[in-house]
Amino acid sequence: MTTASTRTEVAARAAHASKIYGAGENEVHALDNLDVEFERNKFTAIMGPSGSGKSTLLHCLAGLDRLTSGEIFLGDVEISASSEKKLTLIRRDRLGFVFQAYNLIPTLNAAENMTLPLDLAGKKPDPEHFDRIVDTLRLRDRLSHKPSELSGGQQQRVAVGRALMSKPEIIFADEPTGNLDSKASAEILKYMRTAVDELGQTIVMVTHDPTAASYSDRVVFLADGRIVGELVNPTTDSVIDEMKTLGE
Amino acid sequence: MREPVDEDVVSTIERVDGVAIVEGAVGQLAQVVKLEDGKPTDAIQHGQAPTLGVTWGPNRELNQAIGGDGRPEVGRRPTNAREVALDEVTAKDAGITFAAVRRCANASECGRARVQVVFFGGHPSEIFRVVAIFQFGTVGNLAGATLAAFDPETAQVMMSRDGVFDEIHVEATPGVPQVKLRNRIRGALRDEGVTGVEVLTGEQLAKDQSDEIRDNLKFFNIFLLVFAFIALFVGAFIIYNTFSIIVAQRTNELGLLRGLGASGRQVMGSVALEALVVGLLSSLVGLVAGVGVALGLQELMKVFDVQLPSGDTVILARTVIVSIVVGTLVTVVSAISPARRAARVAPIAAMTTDMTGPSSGYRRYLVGGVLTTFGAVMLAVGLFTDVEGFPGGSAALVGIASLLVFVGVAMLSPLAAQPAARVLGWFPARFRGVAGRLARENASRNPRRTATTAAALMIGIALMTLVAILGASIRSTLANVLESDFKAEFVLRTKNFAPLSPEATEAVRDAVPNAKVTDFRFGNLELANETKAVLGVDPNIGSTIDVHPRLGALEAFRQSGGMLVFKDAYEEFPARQREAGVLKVRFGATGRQDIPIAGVFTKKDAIGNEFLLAMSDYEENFTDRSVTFAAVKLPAGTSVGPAAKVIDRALAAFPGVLSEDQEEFKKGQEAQVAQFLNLMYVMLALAVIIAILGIANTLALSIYERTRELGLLRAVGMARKQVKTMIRYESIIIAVFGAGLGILLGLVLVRALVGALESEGIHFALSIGSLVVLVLLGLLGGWLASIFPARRAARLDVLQAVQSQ
Ligand SMILES: Nc1ncnc2c1ncn2[C@@H]1O[C@H](COP(=O)(O)OP(=O)(O)OP(=O)(O)O)[C@@H](O)[C@H]1O
Ligand SMILES: [Mg+2]
Repeated sequence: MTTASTRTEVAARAAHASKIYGAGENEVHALDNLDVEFERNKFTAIMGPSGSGKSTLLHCLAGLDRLTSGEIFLGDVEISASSEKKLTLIRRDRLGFVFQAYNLIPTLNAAENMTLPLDLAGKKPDPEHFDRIVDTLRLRDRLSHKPSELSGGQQQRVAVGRALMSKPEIIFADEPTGNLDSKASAEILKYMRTAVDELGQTIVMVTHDPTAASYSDRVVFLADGRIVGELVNPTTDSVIDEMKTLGE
Repeated sequence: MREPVDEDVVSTIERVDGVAIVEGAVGQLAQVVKLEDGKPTDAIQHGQAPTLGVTWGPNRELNQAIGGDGRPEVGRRPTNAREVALDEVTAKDAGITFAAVRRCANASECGRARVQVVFFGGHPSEIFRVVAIFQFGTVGNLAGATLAAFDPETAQVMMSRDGVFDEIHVEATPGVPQVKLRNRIRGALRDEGVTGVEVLTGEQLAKDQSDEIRDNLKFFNIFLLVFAFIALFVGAFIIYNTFSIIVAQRTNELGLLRGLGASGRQVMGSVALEALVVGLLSSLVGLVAGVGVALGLQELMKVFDVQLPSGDTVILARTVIVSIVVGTLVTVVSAISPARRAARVAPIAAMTTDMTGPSSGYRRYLVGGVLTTFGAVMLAVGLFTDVEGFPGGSAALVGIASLLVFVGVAMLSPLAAQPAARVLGWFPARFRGVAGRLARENASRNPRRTATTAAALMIGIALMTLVAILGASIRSTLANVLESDFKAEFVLRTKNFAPLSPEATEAVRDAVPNAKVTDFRFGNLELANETKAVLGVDPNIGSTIDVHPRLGALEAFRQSGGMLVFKDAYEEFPARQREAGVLKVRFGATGRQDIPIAGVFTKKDAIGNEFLLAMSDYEENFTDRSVTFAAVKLPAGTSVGPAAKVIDRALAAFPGVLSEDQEEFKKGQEAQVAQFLNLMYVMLALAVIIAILGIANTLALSIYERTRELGLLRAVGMARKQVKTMIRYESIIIAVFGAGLGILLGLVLVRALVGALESEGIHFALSIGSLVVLVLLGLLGGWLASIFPARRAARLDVLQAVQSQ
């Protein structure tokens, strides 16, 4: 393992995390006593076959779902023990989200969608930060457009912009490029890379796409709710190789 | 107009072959007053129900009213001028026990078994011994009427029926058919030259009476039905809206059906069938609930001691069938347009995910505009012209016209929904942060849905506006009239606006000898074959009420009596009568008469009558002596305060009779108006409640539709409270929009209505306060409507919501 990090450099971690759906015969261990850490200022990709528990892990890390047993820490805060009210505040102030699709509120324009978490907190966006994100994501001339007037790629860019706007401690993205063609995907991934490198963001992304994973600093492989492998500084090929190895 | 019959007729009838028993009867107003220590205390009356004095003759068979068989509960028939019998409820209210009555009847120890009875024909009130307590027919008393029974001679004396009876009751010898005997009596009366006596069989009388009751109830029925109809109408909007939303939400599913080969008709049929089933089930539930409420109300009335003829709640097969058919039909009809829209869903719609409804076409606005215009024209015709031949008369025309206007405006309202939602949404957007902004966006994202939802509330609020402003206009008119035309300082009336005894006004005349007291007595006469209301007035009316007479009119009225006629009515008289200065009229008691026209008056706002008959002429032509109300003008320089005390003291012997100064009188009148308004508000509240349920319904459907969006909002940090705020303000925006539209529409309607009533002396007056209250009502309604949807939205499971499609 290369995670020789100290505690403070860990943005989020799961310890003995288990998530069980159903009971008896139908019991499914979506997460099975899993331990994982995500370093600050790193772009981590989570990969694994369908049903391996990737989304479940992400949801639990993000406080959208609760573990059956085990703990989740966000920085020093144990969010698995937080109340729903507190979780909402954590999501608003300290986390960012990018979903696969339907990321935006249809009645708000691009700019309003991006500042939504800040608005919910009653905060004003830092104009410099705002401009920087808008320019990086090349959304300047789309700010007053409603989501229905944006392409899928633009919509995902807005979603990334929203995730970045509140300078969260960590951003979770579940297959953010799943619905996009390769060109749009590449753009999104580039921005995420930039966010980590230039803005110091921490990103955890679930993906099925080895190319997408190659943008990350580290790939964590999941199978049957457990970590089964890991790659640092991945390339598309090394990811494919690792997947092959694991698949056997 | 039935007038009394000469008592000699009794002997004429007695001689008719086949007559077994004949008995004259009197039936007049008589007010029973409770005594305490020999002093009159309470006038016994239940609501507006009449206080009656009747005869109880020796022939048991003819007194079916008393105990159903002529037998009292306790005691015996009154037989002299000092005795009375009371119905059970009245006796109880007068504090008279069975035991006391028994002692009084049997041992002449009457002690507390005494009441005072006030008469209205001029005979002074007297104290009577209560010798019997009976049931009115088979119930304690009928619909709250109080009954005091006297022996026939006493009744004639007390109720000023000297030498006459109000009715003559005849019993046939066994075997003689009613109709045959009736014809014989008619023949005998004709032979004797007796005219003006109506001879009816018992059957006919019973039928006439029940017809009369039915007619009275008919008005009440129509009144209730109108409100039931309004509720249904509002309900139809909500059903229409619900099916529209459901169809829109199912666009994908329906498209898929079409794609799999279902025809447009089949799709439409499926929606219509759904409406049928839903309508049928809801009607059944509504019926059961309605019957439940009816039973509950009856129990409630018992609890509150409201006197009703005891009868079981009747559930007619007709009621059941009509309720279910109407309920189902309204549902299906309301769903037709959404069903047709469903039929037009293209198969391709299965592929698209756009859930916003189709944009409203020009056709809708065109139809809406035409309906509104047509309705408005019809309204004007109904209000400002005499419509003849329209079934139901101008009221029905105005009703249907308003209906068209409502539907038309509802169809046009989506045009206003977006701008209105933006304007109204400014407040939450400004002060409630992003939740408020989202509320505004949500309220304006689907104008048609917002508008239709609001339209339901619009109807209820429009009608409430109408009632409120009409009330305000009446009230302000009243205040103006009192200020400008009412010279008298006091008005004498009874608590329940029932007539008062002339004895009471006489007592006031004696107490303040220099004051001018004007009695007003009510009557009907026939003029050119039409029944007209007439007021008998003392000739000193000029001192108490200013009716704005033309020059010399009052002078002539004072000197030689006759009739004062309102200018509009005067203009309609044939020129010949006007020139001759004589009015050809017919009175019930005295037949055709020529009444001199004393003059013309030009303002009837204070008295509301077009014909004022000098009291001397009134007394010659009417037998009724009861006073409708009286006005008292103090001599100049008398201070009001002490005079009020003197008058009150004089009236102490007449419980139930009030002397009110102008302010009190105004309050009393206003209270009457308010009572009526409150009744209307309560009935209209039903429509508003349904509309509020409609808003809640739309919100619930919208929330269902926006589950994903809500999940997303929660995921990126919207707190539950903010979710609630968002839904609440969306609801409030819709409701206030509906209330606003309703107020505007209501103002237009009431302006037209008051315009039409201008000739009745009612002038338009705006009550900003009422309008503010109605806006607040809309606000409150919106808030109430949002409670459950907001709670549901806030409780959505975030993860499930974001993952839903
Ligand atoms: N709400 C649920 N109820 C029952 N089982 C569930 C539920 N959600 C997930 N699962 C099960 O848990 C396991 C992990 O699911 P999860 O969605 O995390 O997989 P994933 O790795 O994200 O798959 P994919 O790549 O297809 O998105 C699967 O077997 C799934 O069937
Ligand atoms: Mg997944």
